[in-house]
Amino acid sequence: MNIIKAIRAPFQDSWCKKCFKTMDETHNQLFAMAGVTVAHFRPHADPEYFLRTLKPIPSLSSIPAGLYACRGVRYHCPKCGRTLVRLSIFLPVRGKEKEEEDVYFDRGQVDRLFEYH
Amino acid sequence: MRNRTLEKVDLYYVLFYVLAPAALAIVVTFLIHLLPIRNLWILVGIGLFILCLVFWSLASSRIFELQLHKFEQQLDRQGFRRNYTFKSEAAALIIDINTGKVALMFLWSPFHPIVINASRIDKIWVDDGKFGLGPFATSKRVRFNFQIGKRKIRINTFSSNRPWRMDTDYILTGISKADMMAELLDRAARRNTK
Ligand SMILES: [Zn+2]
Repeated sequence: MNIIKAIRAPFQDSWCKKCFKTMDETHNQLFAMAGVTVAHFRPHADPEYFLRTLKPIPSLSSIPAGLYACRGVRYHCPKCGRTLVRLSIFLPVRGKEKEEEDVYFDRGQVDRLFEYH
Repeated sequence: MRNRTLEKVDLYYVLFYVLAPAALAIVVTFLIHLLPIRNLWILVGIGLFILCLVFWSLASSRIFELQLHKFEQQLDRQGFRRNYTFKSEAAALIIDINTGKVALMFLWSPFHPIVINASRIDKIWVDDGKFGLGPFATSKRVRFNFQIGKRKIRINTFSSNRPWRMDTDYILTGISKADMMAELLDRAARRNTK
């Protein structure tokens, strides 16, 4: 666990870099990563990949062991209208989380993931 | 392909693996010894002994890989759907979820792969190898096990010669793999009713 990252994270992500204002959290959704099982995780940056792979789930208990999950949070700046989506990819293991990486999208590329929630 | 035995070690194979290169080295060294060149046999003997060591340390996994590849092709021809394959250093396990069949090959019995109906499995469990308490708990290996009759089969998903804390990526990954394989075996077993 990276302590510096852990302290900075909540400020960094919800903070609009243009207006220096706290953004609103509009969506917070868990996803299963279809077909991505333990030992088969590869980093991706292509929004299409996430639109194809992420399937919304109600809770982590609803996915089988060994399957990767993702916590998606969408922020919106009330002042300038800027949005930011953070996808945090992890492997759930018996209530613990093996963190892989955080991927950011700030041009609405993956907003479709949240449309129905 | 034998269906009844669940031998993890083929004794004839192990004996051949150990004795054949040694015997060959001894015979060749002896023949060189008969030549009228002084002390050449010592050099040849040492050289062949080193070759034997290399063979013993490397050949088993290579033979296993080659045999596994053949076995996979054979399974494909038989219509076995290889939904999940798990390979450890000592064994490979392949599951066909829909038919509930499980194919197994062991490192020390690569010429006798096995296909069983998962419904024959009596018990499936995960052993995280946890030693110690609370935040000080560590593990050197994680594995999933299953039992058929009195026979226990243990397949490592992680092993190390030093202990690791339970929240390290190594152990979490090992537990995740073992949990996944146990769940899949369980699914296959329920699919293929007795
Ligand atoms: Zn703003």
